[in-house]
Amino acid sequence: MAVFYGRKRERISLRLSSDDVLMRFTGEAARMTVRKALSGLTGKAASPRAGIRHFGRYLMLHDPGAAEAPVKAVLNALPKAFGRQVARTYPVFIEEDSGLRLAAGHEITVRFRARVSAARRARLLAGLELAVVRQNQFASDQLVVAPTALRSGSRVVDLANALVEADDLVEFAAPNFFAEYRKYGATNDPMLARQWHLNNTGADGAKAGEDVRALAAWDIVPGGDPSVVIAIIDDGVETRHPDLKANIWRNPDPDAPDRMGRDFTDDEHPYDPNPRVFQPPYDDTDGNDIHGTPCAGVAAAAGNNKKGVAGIAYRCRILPVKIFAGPSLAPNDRIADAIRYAGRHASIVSCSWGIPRNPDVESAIEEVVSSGRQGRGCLVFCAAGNEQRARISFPAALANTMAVGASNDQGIKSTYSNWGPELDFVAPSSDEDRSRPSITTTDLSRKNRGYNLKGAYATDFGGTSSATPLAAGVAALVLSLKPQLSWRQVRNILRETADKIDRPHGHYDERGFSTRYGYGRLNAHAALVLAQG
Amino acid sequence: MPLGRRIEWSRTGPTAIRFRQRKRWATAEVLPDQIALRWAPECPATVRAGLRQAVQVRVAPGVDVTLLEVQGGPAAVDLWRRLEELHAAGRLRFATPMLRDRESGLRQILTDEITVRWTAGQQVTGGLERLRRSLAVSLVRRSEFVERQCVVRLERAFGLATLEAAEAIDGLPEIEFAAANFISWADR
Repeated sequence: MAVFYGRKRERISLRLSSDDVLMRFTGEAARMTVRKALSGLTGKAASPRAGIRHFGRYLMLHDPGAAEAPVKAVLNALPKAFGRQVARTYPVFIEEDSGLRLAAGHEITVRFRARVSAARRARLLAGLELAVVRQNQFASDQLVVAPTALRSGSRVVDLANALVEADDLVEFAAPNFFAEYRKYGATNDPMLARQWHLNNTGADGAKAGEDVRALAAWDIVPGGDPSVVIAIIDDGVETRHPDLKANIWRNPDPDAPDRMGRDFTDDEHPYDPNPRVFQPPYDDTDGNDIHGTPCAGVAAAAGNNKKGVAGIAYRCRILPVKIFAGPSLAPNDRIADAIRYAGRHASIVSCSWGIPRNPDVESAIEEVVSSGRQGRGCLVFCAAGNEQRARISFPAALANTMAVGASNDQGIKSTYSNWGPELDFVAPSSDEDRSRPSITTTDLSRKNRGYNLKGAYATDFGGTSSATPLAAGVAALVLSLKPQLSWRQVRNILRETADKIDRPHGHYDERGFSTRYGYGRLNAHAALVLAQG
Repeated sequence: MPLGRRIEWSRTGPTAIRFRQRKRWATAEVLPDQIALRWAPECPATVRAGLRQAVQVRVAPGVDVTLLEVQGGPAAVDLWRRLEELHAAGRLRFATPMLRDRESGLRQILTDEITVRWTAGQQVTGGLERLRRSLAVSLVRRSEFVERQCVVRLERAFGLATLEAAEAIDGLPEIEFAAANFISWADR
């Protein structure tokens, strides 16, 4: 049954749940007493999946998948002594948008328009047989009212809607629901509050909510699954970094020489993917092996470890693959082989760089996309580029890679981020305006090395270099939930669920595509909800 | 087998060129005042030091390439003549002008290496032998990941010869693709 409430022109859609019922007790029922009384019931009258939530005088009985009758059967089966303590039962509704449950009690919150006289207010309430329970102490035009006669919960919704219909008098009216809320999965990492790209609270002038929806995503998949490996193809990753080492991939083959990744730049140390080349100035990307470590942290820094930061896929694994040593220079065949190597061990490949078009690199990507993950295909994420031009870099421009652009803390395109028809989506990152917050992530822990020469974390990382591993991490969460999906299915999920930010300037077409934003800004939570089915 | 078509370029100023890789055309700009070279292992230190005094020299770490920068015009012509002599004397593995990729705007170092992939079903050993005889190339390494792919070295790599040879190999029917194994600058 569809039900609506709210304002006349902004109705919120509900449906009556046949799986839930809310009970109110006459006194403060002791938790253990209630559990004991109902423990037998859930095993008999209700299905084994039935659940009880108990809060104060209220108890919500939930029996998922069951029709209305079993819930009634449970109520009828309550022990007589226990049943006498149940003062009321209330229907439970499910909000269509969020899937959250709401139980309508007997109270209604109503806000009158300021100019409406006390007499007109009283006449309206009396006509609907409603009495004032209390006045809101902070809003003088707002009251809590209740029916003078006992009403069922759905009747309370009808009464609230009747008030809404008098919209010349009433600003809004809604049942004073007992609302289920979703506790989003924040981790205990002390620098999480600075990671606005994961959860933008509006601090430091940022715009709240302009983020990748990581916390809500973690509510569904907390940090992903360790079986999902993200290859970071760059200038090495500090494998002993305190916030990365737990998540560095370990080769399952005990005899393999590549214990934790590969270095394609150094034939003398091919199995040590750690940063090794440094030259002054030590915080300059072009000349120092300092770029891969922050990229790795954005994707999968260890989370919930009470240390530093969290990667979006904070339980997934990082495969470090080194192709640069010092300068941003690499032979094409080594880049291609690095991609092929990554495709053997990783589900996802993250490339925060662009190079001139090259047939060997192109064929390596074709190979891992077509045959990686036992034929389901590796997902290859590539930076769109930071040159502020209408051309997507190679290899991001290839049809079988995912081109990732950048959006800022205000939810608009980062000025530098390249755009074009090959762009797949954007992800939160830094802005050209350096007064805007950048990305906080792992940095080299060695003193005087890295973007932050004094610590193991950088607060000024960014560019499409940062957006790319963030997108890779979102895909890692999706694969953690549904590992059987093909690379195309994951790409479609990411595209379909991306938020259409900056609509006035995005010029999204009928397919929902914009050359500035691709299919929009990645929404990790929405992607997981869609993947869940 | 002839080296294929000759790609003309100027030693005094930038030249726009087209070259084919994987059956597609790429466009680039030749920058004759920026030169990449790799010394032959047997080249005496005195020769290297002599060049260092004449022009600005930078060593690109990790890729074993020396980069020279010279004023354009006559100075560049003189330097190219000097390098040609050193190359003929076996002191240099290669000396090539820097290329700037038109599409990305990124520079690429042309070396003496070519990546070659044969079509499925071709015998790589036989194919390699044919290339060795006709083009004076030697095997650098077989691909660790693709059985029918390897990197070969052109013995006489000067100017754009590697590009010309790669294009010629790319046109062979038994070849899936051949491309100069550039050392590319990356945007990060």
